[in-house]
Amino acid sequence: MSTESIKILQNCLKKLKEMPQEEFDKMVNEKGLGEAFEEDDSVYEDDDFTLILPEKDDVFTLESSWGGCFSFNSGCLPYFFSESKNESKKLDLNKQNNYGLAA
Amino acid sequence: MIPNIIGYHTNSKEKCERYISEGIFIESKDIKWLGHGMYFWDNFSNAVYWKNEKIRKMEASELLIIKANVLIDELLDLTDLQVLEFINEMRIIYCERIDRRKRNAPMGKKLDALFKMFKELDESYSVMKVNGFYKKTPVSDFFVESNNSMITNKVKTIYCVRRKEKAVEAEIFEKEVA
Repeated sequence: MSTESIKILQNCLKKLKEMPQEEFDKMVNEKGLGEAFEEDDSVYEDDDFTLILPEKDDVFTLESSWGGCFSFNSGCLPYFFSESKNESKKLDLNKQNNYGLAA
Repeated sequence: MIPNIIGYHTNSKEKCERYISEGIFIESKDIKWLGHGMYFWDNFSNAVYWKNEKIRKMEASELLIIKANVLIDELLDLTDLQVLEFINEMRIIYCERIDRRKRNAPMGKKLDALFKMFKELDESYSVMKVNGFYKKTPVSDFFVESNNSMITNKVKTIYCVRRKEKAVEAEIFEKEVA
């Protein structure tokens, strides 16, 4: 993850923590965020798969990690770091993970 | 050099053809996954899986698969633990401040709300990546026999493209199968 990316996330988190409640409430109203939490209007069934963000305490590191592979306790999902990418001068639709100029 | 992956999107014949011919972005109004955006699988097998699921549930019969280059130069990678920790903390604080009862609101709604709240988040990240754990997927014999409980085939990688200019050179990849 790039330094710039980290800074963006850090800034957003900082703003959220420090924002006065009045300002937060105002923003929620202005941007219509309060209505976004109606839980009945789902378009997907939830029996297919789960997306779960683990809490910090749920995370543990394997002693013998493989490319940053982490495993989480039940209810969470395992995931892996991005694969290495090969550079290519030309974008090739038949190859994954190529760097190239977009059309 | 712009990093990219090949993504596969499954949808109705009508939507796919309109996307290819007219550029009409197929934006899901999702609330449970990653919120608004066009969803792509990272390999063809997963797109076929999704197509078969739709057919099995009789939600559609005429489905196509689109292949496209998904540009990931503005990627919010939720498989990256460092990113995850920031987003998760934001999620917790946001939900506690807005309404304690909404802490368990669907993930997609929370992410959409965070993107709406922070302009820099919205402007910096055009694609999101996450892994989904498919509990019903049978474990491959390959992993069972190798006796390694840490490796699994139950995980599918999903990309959510939030801006249509991040999915380029799209084409129909498989002909319609009833």
